[in-house]
Amino acid sequence: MKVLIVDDEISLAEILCQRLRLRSIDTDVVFDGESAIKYISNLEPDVMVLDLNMPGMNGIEVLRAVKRTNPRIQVIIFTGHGSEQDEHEAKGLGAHSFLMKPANVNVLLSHIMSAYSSR
Amino acid sequence: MTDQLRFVASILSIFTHELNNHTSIMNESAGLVLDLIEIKGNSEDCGFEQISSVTGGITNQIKKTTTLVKYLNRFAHRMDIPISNYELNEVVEELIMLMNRVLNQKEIQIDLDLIKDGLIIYGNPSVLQYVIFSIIQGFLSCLKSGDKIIIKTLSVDSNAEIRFQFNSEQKLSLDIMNADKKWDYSEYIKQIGAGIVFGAQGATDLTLTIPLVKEG
Repeated sequence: MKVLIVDDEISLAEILCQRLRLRSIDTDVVFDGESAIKYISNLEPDVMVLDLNMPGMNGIEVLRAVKRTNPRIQVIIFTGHGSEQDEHEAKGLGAHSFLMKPANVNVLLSHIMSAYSSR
Repeated sequence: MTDQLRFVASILSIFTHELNNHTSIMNESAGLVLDLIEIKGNSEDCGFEQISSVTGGITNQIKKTTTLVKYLNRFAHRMDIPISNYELNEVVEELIMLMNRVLNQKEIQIDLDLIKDGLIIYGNPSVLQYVIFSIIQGFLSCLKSGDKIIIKTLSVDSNAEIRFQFNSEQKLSLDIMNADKKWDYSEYIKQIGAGIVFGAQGATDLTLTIPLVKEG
């Protein structure tokens, strides 16, 4: 299983990446939406953990693009500031789940496993 | 809702978003330390260096959070005594620090060029912060990623000046920015005894002029 973390909060994304790797999850990280789109044009992760509020291309725009070009990628929205409206929109666009930060890494991991098994 | 209440709510919203990010980083960092102890604790490569690096990161993050909280605390306490002598640079810097997240999100760079000698003003610093916030919001409504705002404080005769200027690849003028009336500050300029001068047609700068406290 391959996981891609997309988050502009560099420290947070890197630490999360390390924590997943320590749990033997093959994880990569990029820090903005544009890089995520570039990444998936070369490699297809099974699961994408995606922040919503990012400079440039925001999470909803990334989700829309992912579902258009690589619909098999399961997307988990992982945000500190999402509203019910954001959750409704993200799920309408095909997000697997919507998780608020901060979250226990094992909770995130269970969402990742669930997303992976739904592929 | 009154303009100033909306302003305070906006600052609080920016602050709580930022604070949530800081606590998330600390939470994940502490989690990573525990992971390293649990997963690597008994192995030869027990991850001491990594643990040391992560705990250093937590300390650094706490410093950043403490600084941000200090700015918010000072911002809030400015409303305790509405009219007082205050230092202009402190008021400007404090507001910009609290707005940092919005500027970063929009990828707008802000350059502060603050005069070295403090400029003491008598009046209501919270209203001045509202005016500065509104001017910046007007700029942000038109600027795009990569653009820049320059804020300069200076002393001219018996007045303090705050000069706002923007650099943009787009051909913008202040006329367009002032069309955004979501944050209207015209009434509040009078309240703080300030004057405002817009650059000539097509200019990218405006200057806020406030009387300085007379020495002696």
